[in-house]
Amino acid sequence: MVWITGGALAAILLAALTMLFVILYNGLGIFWPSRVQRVQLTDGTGFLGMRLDGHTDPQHGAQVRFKTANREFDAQRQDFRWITQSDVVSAEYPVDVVVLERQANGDFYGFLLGLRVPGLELPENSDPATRLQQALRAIAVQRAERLDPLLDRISAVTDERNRVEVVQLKAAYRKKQAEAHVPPDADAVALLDGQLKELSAEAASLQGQSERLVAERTAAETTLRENVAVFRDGKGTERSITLIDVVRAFRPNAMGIAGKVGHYLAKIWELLSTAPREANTEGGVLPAIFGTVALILLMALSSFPLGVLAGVYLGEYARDGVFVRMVRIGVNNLAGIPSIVYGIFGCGFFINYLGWNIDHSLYAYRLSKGPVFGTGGVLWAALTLGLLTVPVVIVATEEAIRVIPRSIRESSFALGSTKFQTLYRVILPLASPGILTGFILAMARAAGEVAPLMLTGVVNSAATLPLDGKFPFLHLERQFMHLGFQIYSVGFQSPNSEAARPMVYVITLLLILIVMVLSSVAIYLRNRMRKTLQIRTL
Amino acid sequence: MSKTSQATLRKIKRHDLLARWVVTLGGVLVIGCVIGILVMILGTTLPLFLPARARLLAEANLPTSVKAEGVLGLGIEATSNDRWQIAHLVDASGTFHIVDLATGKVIQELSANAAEDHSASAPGSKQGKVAGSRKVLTADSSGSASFTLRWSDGAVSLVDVVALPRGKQVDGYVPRFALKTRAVIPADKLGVPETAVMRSQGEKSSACAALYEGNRIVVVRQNVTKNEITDEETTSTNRLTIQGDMPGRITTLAIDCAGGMVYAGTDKGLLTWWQLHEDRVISHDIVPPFLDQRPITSMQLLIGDVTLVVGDAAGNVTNWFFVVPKSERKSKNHSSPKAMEATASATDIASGKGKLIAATKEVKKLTLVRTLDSHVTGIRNIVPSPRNHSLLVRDESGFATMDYTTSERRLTTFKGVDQLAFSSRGDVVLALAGSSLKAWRIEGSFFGLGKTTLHPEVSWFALLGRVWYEGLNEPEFSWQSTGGTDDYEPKLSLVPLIFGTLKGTFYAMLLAAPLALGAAAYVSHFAFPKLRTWIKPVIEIMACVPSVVLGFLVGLWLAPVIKDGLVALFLSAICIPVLFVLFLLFWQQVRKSPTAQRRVRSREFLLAGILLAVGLVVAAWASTPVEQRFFGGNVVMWLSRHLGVVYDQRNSILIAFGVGFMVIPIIFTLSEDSLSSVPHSMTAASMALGASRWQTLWRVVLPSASPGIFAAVMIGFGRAVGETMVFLMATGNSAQMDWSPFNGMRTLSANIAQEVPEAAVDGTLYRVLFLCAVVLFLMTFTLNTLAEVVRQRLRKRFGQF
Repeated sequence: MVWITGGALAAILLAALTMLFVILYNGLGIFWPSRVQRVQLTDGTGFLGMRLDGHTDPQHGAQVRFKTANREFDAQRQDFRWITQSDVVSAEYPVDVVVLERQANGDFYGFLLGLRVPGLELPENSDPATRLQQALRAIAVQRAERLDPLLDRISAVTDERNRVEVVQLKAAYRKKQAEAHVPPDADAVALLDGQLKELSAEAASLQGQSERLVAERTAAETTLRENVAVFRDGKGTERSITLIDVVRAFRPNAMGIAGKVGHYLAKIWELLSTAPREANTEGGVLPAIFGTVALILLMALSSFPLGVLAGVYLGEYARDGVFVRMVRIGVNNLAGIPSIVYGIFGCGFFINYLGWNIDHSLYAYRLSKGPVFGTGGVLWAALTLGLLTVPVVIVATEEAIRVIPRSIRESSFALGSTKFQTLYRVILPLASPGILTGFILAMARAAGEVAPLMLTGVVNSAATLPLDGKFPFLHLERQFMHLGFQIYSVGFQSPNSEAARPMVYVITLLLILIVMVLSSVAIYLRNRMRKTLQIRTL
Repeated sequence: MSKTSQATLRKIKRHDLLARWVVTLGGVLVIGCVIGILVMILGTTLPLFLPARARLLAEANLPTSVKAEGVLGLGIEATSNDRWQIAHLVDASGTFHIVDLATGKVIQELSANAAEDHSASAPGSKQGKVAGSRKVLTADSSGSASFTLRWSDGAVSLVDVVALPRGKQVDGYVPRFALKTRAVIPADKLGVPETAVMRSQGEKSSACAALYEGNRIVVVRQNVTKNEITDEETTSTNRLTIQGDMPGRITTLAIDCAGGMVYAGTDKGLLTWWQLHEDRVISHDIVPPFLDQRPITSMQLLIGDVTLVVGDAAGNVTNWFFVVPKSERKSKNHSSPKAMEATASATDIASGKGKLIAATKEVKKLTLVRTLDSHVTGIRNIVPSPRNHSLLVRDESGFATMDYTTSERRLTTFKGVDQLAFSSRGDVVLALAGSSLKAWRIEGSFFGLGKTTLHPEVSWFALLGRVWYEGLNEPEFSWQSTGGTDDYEPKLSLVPLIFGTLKGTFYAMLLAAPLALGAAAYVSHFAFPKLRTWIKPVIEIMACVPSVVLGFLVGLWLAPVIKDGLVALFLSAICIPVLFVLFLLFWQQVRKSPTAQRRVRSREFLLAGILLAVGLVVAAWASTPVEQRFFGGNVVMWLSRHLGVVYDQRNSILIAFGVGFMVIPIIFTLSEDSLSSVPHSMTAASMALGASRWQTLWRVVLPSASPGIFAAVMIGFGRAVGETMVFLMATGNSAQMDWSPFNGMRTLSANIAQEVPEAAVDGTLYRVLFLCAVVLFLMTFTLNTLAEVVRQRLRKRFGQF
């Protein structure tokens, strides 16, 4: 029997290890540049592909899956291809295969034939691979010089237009109110009419300005788009790829270890610092990380003070009675309520009640433009998560206060201090590691919760961040992206789930890393606190 | 004491008082939160269960220009904000009197005679041109403002009252109306029909069934087709005569909008239907509905044209629709070796409506589906709602009821009414009672204190009972909240969701509880003491793994692994025990050596882990030949072919792993705590008496720790019940009721997560989803409270040691 119980423990540990291994193996390996094979098949065709995994099919025998990339040139628009092992005539690793990462349509594999770069001045160089890198650098410079300033100006004009639109809406609303006034406020109406006229003129001029800028930008982009690189793909067809679409070009088969490590690090930096491309399946996760962090911070602001207050009340002030017992049961039950129930509460109370009322009182003038607070947003999600994590903080605080020996408290009282002084000067400093543990555990839980967010404002692609350089800087009503939800949406709702899989593993790894670091710190702190307290009592 | 110290003291006291207040406020706020959450969620669900009431909106005397006995039909148009209510009254001259109920004045008079004259482009302008030449005999309304007029010259016409485009909305505004003749069936040589029903579908097509003497039914279907190039409209008319050869006289008729089905009821209590094709009757049947041959007095089709409502002279109102009889279904299921085909045709039946009867080979029978609460006297008239499955039924005595058919709810009753009509939204009822017109709004009532929205389709029966929905062959528990069309009946049974939740939790606990408890027992009593200090943090970190990560791994990584390795999974269930037994036999020999004993004792789990891994490898290695030999190379195909078990890619095995992995740390931590809190003196005493380690655990430690273990399992159970993401990602989310481990499920939590974003705020679905949350809340509340009570007992019990 002892063996069976031991087996149970072993099974749990084995499962945990398997999980960790699967995540690490799939998550870490993705950015490592694998070599690209040129495969010749028995039917005379060939292709370039990255060998992935295989399985044995009773009908076909051993089959291997290749990532063939070049999605837009494939008949089925697929990135992957299953090849029966017996069909393969030859497979080799040509040194000069180039892999392009692109803004759209995924990767491209091919052999570089030459460059057609009318708009770029490149130093004379015989090596085409070097020339490609130089061209990419040159085009990046061109983009920064010509396109980016235009984009900045377009966005500035758009912001201005949005601002004018808000003023316009406000004026129109006031005019309506003035008209509805009994008796109608003719002066105000006339004044507002004038204002509206001015505003619409302003809006029109901004519209014209924006259209001009867009046209200018399109023209500039068209010139840049003339720069192409010509490749021969695995089937032998010539393909020209617009250089401006290329994010990165490398030759995996020619890379040494150092080159691969460099590539790997560059990819990780890209992951952490850029926005996603291609429906979240490529590029970075910066908005999601940002959303997660903003959410946790807002959650902490809303839940920690309340939790500590309630915990201190339970631990220090409350006398044992029916009321306190009810509070305790309440807190324990609050901790046990499923997160989705919090989610539906947040949806019903925060969004559909509070948000609706805010919209109808403060933003009544722009109701026709859709809800502001009456829809999911980072504030409502944070408040929902705050409610969800309050019990964690309360329990931790109460526990931390309770384990402080009576003697310490009594000696403080004996020295003549009041209850508040004892609490503030003696108890709270001693309990602080415990309370901190509660905070961190709450943050870890909040980082991993997804279900309530789905009802309170998480989206799989948000155009704007909740924090930016535009007044009022912090936009609490905005929808946001979240690492956990990204896993669900990219993994389960993506149209090209096969190609999205690697990204999901990476996000998973990232999320699990955040949560595990947070909870490890919490557990370490708690253990240390226990030890120090034991020593002090002795 | 000096002055400053006095001030300081006062300040300190003030601070103390302030702190007390602030802190107490915080505590009260928390309790407020718990109660607030519950109250808010319950408050949202409350309107589902509130009774309906009829609020009198307006009452007006019949205008003097309309004589009470002359009113043949009536209809009503009303705004949702009760700004105005306008009644339409049809009299024998074919004139529609448009009456503003607020003032009781006739605001318009429109003549159907004039409207019918195609040369009169502006209705109402050439009043009285042909009026007087013929009379309207009956004006029945099957929709809200759509009337079948039976003329004395034998013609039948379908006339709609339509509101003209709205003018500026100012106080006192009332809309204007016009008549629109949808279709006219000219007089027939057979004379004046005894009764006629006419329905229209869209703008272009209409169907009419008229009954002539001798049970002869003439069905006329008209279809206007527009030539795309010339814009010319051609009307194609299809005429079909059916001879109803059955005993008795046909008393009432019903026809669907498309004109494909005609129903008739006789005074001998027979129910007949004909299914029509373009020029012939495809099928026909006579159903004797009642044993006592009571006459059928009234018939109507509910919205969607699937359910037939039949009223009879005994005061019963029954619902009928086409169902594949049980005998037919059984034979099909048994004879077919391919379960897939059977399910495919079943879904066809469910998705299609009347028109599919011909397409499928199964013979469908018009079947009695439900009987509503009966009236005392015979049924005179049935008015179906144009929006949902509710209906008004009026009997001989002038007593009328409003029922919702699928939820079997009696919404409200009216006394002493002569005629009834629904508004086009189905929320306002107009009645002619004696010489007065009354309009009621049907709404929810908050115990007589205030009004709420009404959700007639929800009742305890609809939520928890087996409901016979349209398209189903028998009453079922079924959840399918949205459908493709407007006349879709939302199926809102909570039973499959609760079942799914319990099923998922059950499979998860089946895996998690033994593993977690075994591991806890091992760590607390058998392993070397140091192990505890590092295994607890590991397990606690395990508890922090976000459920979305588990859901993803289980749904996308494990699902194909399990599908390919199903045989390996079952083989390992044999391999691992066998391996353990073999090893233990070997161990009996080795343990005699003290060195081996010393080396292994308290470290058994390492060896056990190796054994497990070996067992898994052996199972995986053996699975391919076993699958080839016994299951024809593909166990999933084999399962469906030989056992009729359908294997879903997302199933309960995955849930067992996913949710199980989530609750293991919780159960482990809590039960390990309670196991190690058993005083050392007890175990020491037991060991000193010569008991083995296992005996000590089983006989001494376990009984004392059992409440704690129970609490641990309860809390784990509660956590599994409320889990959302794993269920959402790994169950397939189909609301089926089947204990098979190879099938998925739909749980309450995943259902909420999926449907709340799409549900209209304060709609029925929204409130039912809140009800799901209440059920979840109650489930976890019970489990947690139970655990808490047990734990407090435990604390008291061990306080003495």
